[in-house]
Amino acid sequence: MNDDDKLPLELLFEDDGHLSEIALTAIADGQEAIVAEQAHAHAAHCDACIHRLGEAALLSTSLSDALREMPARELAPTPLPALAARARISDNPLAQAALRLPLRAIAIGLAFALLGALPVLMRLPILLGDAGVIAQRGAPIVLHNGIALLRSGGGLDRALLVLTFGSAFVLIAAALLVLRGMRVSSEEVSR
Amino acid sequence: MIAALMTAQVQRPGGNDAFAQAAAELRPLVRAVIAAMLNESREHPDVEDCTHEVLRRAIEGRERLREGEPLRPWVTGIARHVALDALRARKRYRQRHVADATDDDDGTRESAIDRVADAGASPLERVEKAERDRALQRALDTLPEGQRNALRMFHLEGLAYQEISVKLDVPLGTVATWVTRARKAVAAVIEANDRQSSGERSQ
Repeated sequence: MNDDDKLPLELLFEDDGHLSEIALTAIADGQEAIVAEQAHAHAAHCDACIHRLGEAALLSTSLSDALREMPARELAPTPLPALAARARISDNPLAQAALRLPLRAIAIGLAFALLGALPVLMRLPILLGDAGVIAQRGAPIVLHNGIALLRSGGGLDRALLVLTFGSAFVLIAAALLVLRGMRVSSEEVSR
Repeated sequence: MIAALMTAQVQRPGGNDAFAQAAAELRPLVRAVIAAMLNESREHPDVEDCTHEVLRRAIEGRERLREGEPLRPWVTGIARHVALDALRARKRYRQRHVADATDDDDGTRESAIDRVADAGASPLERVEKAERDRALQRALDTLPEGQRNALRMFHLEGLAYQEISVKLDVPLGTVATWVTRARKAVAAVIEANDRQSSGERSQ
């Protein structure tokens, strides 16, 4: 054991030359090896310090007994979620990780949506020219054409329609996943 | 000499001789506990007699030391009982032989924390113990996290100061300071609680 493994001398003695509470507590706790020889020598001959050592030993033993009799939760270590909640989120990598968006799911959803919207986007200049008509008649026509396409059994048009609706479904599912992920993260942080 | 004797870290030594030697190494600590409780010099005959009695009881009753239970607090507990017996004997003697022995103060140096650990047998004592447990919990709640963790690691996990130092990544002196301060803070709260309880009872 080198000097780094011992308590500093300034912690061991009071100004009046007697042992400090820290030294007495360490000796009473059986940590004699970390207390310098000077302190042991003093403890061997000083009645006042011997009395205080006895009291420190009684206190240590009694507190051990009392703590063991208490339910374990009383001195349980601070749980990680509580630490995360206490810490400022901006400074806490754990909290930041909990709040991070599922970017991969969002990217996949957007890619599907873009794929589904591709036929419409290709006709966008034409559609934009008829924006007023679309606004007025859009919904009924889309519905009507959709039903007609489904009934006609056309190959490419039907496939495009299925792709469009499928992409929309994936996009909605991705949005729901994002919302759910954010809700769970905020619950974990606030716990 | 005393330093060498007090360097023992004992956890249920093996054979009879080893146990007797380990118990004997705790003699300085036992003497300190007895002297503190009797409020006498370490060289007082009663202190010497009680110290012998503690070591005798420890060696003869070594089978009662449970596996894994540290020897030091166990022997300290015996010392406390022996000292209390001696104090009661003194009190009886005074009551018999001193006419004006009406003073209830028997010189006991028992602290509030000592009383915390006493298991109450009567309903009243059980109620008092529950009150003290609550006070102890309040005291623990007020401790800073470092002190609280150091106290838990030492008393409940049985870690040495150096192990706590490594685990919490703080200097050894910090651990010693935390344990000392935490223990004093807890003792102070318990003392205050006991004073308040005794005040309420006397009203």
